[in-house]
Amino acid sequence: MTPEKSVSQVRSISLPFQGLFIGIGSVFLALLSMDIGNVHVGFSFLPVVVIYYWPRAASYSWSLICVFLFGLFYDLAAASTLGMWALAFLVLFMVLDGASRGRSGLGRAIVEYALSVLFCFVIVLLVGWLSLGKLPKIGTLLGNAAASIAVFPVLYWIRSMFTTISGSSSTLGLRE
Amino acid sequence: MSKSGYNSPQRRQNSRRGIAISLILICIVMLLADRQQESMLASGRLTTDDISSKIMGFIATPIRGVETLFADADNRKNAYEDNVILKAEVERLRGYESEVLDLEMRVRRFEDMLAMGNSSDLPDIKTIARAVSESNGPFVHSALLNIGRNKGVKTGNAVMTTDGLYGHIVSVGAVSSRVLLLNDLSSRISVMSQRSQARAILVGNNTRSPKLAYVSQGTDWQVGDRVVTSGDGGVLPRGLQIGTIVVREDNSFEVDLYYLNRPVDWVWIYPFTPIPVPEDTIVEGIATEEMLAEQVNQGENVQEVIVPEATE
Repeated sequence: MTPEKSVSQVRSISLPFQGLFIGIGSVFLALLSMDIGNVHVGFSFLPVVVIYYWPRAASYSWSLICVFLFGLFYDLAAASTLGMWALAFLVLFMVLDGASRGRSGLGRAIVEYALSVLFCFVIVLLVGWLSLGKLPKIGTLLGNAAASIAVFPVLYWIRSMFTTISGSSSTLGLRE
Repeated sequence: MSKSGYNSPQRRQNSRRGIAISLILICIVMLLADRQQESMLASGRLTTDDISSKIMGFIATPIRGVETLFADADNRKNAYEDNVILKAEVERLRGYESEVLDLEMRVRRFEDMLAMGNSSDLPDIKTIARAVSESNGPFVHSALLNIGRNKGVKTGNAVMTTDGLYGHIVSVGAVSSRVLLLNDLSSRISVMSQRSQARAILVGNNTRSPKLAYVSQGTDWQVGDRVVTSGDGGVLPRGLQIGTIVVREDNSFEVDLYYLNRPVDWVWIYPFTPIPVPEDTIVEGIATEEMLAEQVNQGENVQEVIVPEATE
C-alpha cells in the first residue's frame, strides 16, 4: 500500500467521526426551544443538515455506523422513542448517497435540504404513530420542520465561511 | 477475480449492505422494545441527560434571555390593564384576609387538640433547580433539570414553578434529572377541584390543555374551578395548584395549566416520600383469621400477622 493510499484510507475513516461529533453538537442546538408568547419554536429537524452535508470522501461503512450512533444519541438526548431518529437518519443517509448534486447555490441547497427534512418528517411521523399508537400533533411537527428550514441559510452561510477559510471543500471531503 | 468468485468492489458492496441491514434491524428492535416499555439503554439515557444538562445549561442562557425579553415586553404592554385588575382584586381580597387568618388560627388549634400535627402534605423543604432544556415536541413533553442524586432528588418528586405544578421526576442521574410535564401523553395525575373536592385524573394529551378523565356523573366541576393535586394514591402531595377548568365544545373538561403562563427557568422540587403500598405478603396491624387462612391456602409467605383474639 502506497503512503498516499494509506493516508487517504485513514482520512476516509476519520471523516465519519468528524461528522458524528458535528452531529452531536447539532443535537444540542436542536434541543434548544423557545416560547415566544403562546408560540413554541423548536428545531428538532436541525440535525438533518449534518446528514445533508455528510463528508463525501468518508468511508461508507463507518459512515453508516456513525450516522446510527448520531441518531441514537439524538433519541437519548431528546428522550424520544429509542431508534426513531436513528432509523430516520440511516434511511435518509442511504437515500442521499449517490445523489448527484453539483455545486449548488443557496436556492437549490434550500430545496434539497427541505426535501430531506420532509423525508425525515414522514419517517418520524410514521414511526411515532406506530410507537405512540396515536397520530402525533402534525402541526407541532410541521412547525419544527419549518423552523429548521428557516435557519438553514444561516447554517449555509457558516459552512461557506468555513470552507472559504479552510480551503476548498474537496480537500475537506465535504459535499459540494 | 478473487478465489471466492467475488471481486473486491462486490465484496465491499455486500459488506456495506450487511451493515446497513443490521443497523436498520437494530433500530426496529429498539423501537419495538421501547413500545413494550422496556427500559432499554436506561443507563445510557441517564448519562446522556447528565452530559446534556451541563451543556444545555450553558447554551440555553441566551435563549432564556430572549424568552424573558418577549415575556417582559408582553407584560409591559398590558401593565396598565393588569394594574387596574390587580387593584380591584386587592380591594376584594382585603376583606377575606382577616377571615383567613382567623380560620388558620382556629384550624391550628383544632389540630393541636386532636394531636394531628400539620394536616398539609406539603413538605417544608424545597430544592431549587434550573430547567436547562424543555422538550415540547410532538412526541414528548419533558424537561431536563440541572440537579440529580447529588441534591437528593428522587423519582416521583413533584416539580413546581412559581405559578403551579410543572410535572414530576421520572428519571434521576448523578447531576441531572428529567421531568415529565403535565401535558405529556403519558402523564396521569390524580386531581381535585379545590371548591367542590370532586376527584378526577388529569391526562396529558401533548397539547397545552390536558384533559380531565374519569369524571363521575353528578360530580361538581365548573368552569373556573381551581384544580389541585388530590394526593390520592400517595404519589404526590395534596394541594399543589395546577390550573383552572375550561370546557370544550364537546362538553369535556380541560385544564389551563398555570405553569404555561410564562417561560420556565427556575423550579423547585418537593422531596415528598410517596406513601408506601402495603405488601401483600406482609400484613401489618389487624387481620382476621379468614384472611390468614386464605393466604396460607394460597401458599403465600405470611409474616408478622397479628390476629385478634376472638371477642364476644
